[in-house]
Amino acid sequence: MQIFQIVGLALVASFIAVILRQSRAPESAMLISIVAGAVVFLLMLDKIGAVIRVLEELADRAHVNKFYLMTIFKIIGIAYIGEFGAQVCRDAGEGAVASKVEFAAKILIIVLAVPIIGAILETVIRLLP
Amino acid sequence: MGEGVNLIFRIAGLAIVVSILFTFLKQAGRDEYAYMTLLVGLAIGLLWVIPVILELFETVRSLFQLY
Repeated sequence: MQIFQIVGLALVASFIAVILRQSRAPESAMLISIVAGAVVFLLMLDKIGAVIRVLEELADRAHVNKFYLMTIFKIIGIAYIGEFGAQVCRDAGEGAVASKVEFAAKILIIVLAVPIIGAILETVIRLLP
Repeated sequence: MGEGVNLIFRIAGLAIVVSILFTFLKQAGRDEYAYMTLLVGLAIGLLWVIPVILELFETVRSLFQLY
């Protein structure tokens, strides 16, 4: 199963990162954690693609407007990358930078969510007598 | 999967070589060369890591249609 590969890779990468944090070049530990994170995501790529295809198919069958589904996927993408960056910055000890990255990700997500909120309000108002 | 792991080991090897060189040059009294090897090691590490980050971002962009 793939989970064993991923956990093995994560353990090896964090073990090497701990060693390198003590050595003369601690910044390479950060490089290794970035590479480990990226490799784990790239390993999970085809599974995520399959889930997205299923969701799109369900949305088409349920005649849900494609725009809403696209916005949801965009929000998931922004949340993932924002989380990835914030976590790497926090591991490197830069808590302030990490919170700024999360702040920016939240703003971007709100900007994406505004059209949907507008649509919901319209339908609610139309339902009222 | 394989190239991810061997990239991690390559960076680890580079960092160990750089730290050994750093200590060696410091003992030999050449501090400026020591710090230069640190920078060169860091630059090479970045050179290897940045394409992986770029591939991650491109994949997320294409997967979640984040244009």
